[in-house]
Amino acid sequence: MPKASAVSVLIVDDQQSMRGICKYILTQLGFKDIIEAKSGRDALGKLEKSNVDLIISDWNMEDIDGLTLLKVIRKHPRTQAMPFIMATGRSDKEQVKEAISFGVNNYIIKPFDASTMKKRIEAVIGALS
Amino acid sequence: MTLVNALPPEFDRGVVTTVHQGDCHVSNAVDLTLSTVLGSCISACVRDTVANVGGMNHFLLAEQSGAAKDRYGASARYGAFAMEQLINKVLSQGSGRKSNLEIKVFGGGKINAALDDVGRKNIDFVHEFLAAEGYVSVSEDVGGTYARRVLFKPHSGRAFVKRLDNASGANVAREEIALAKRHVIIPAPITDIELF
Repeated sequence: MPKASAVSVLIVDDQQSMRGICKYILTQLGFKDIIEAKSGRDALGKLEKSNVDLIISDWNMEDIDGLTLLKVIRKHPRTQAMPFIMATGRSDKEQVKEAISFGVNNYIIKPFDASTMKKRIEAVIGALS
Repeated sequence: MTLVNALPPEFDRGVVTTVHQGDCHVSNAVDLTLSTVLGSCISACVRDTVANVGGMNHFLLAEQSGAAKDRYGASARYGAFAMEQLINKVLSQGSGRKSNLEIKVFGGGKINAALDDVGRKNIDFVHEFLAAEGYVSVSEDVGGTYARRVLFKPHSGRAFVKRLDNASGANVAREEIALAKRHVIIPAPITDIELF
């Protein structure tokens, strides 16, 4: 049973407001080690330097989108098994199916709250203590 | 005077789609006009100036507070998602470049003098959001003590605002608050996709 405070989470979103919301909710859930990346490219740089246990990424980003980031992560030996949750809009059902085909572990539909986020994270990494 | 008569002669409404509270419409259709009526609500009109794709949202943060502790509260989160949804839709149907976006903001009236200035809080929210994301609105018609009808042509980016009389405004305000209180903020998962 993972302890939230011991899990390192990488938030990837090119909108500062969305990163802020995600960080706020993760903090509510007890997470302390939260890394922010403002683009897909920034995320790859952060993954080189940090030990990350879970990625929560937006889909729509200007440089490298969430799906491309997922594909790169799944190809690299060091990150290929890294838990990955995709944040997406309500109407993006086809996108979700595509992300599943490329190995996304779960998805979360915006707007979300702490309860929904907790369920999605626990479905991927196990119940939080 | 009818609304049609109040329009400038060159403003051809064509096909009109109404944008209700909670909606977000994006299109590149030349003959489309997006229409909405705002009391304390906010509508942002976002357009990709290169791709000629534009859209309009319509939201109300009924309990939004400017206090720092509530910056990411449920109401502000809803507004941020509404803005992100519109921006992302325009980007995905347009050039994909944020630098090509042009943003106009409308609404946030103080319709009922007896109530808190919900409109002002909504205006503050959208200003804070745009500043945080590095956007500047190219034009605005916000605040005041009246409701507005806003028409927006997503292809050309032209916008038309008509200020409504007090009686119309009072009805609009009542409906907005009732809708905001009923609004379900958290969506259900996509029903036919199950993971684990």
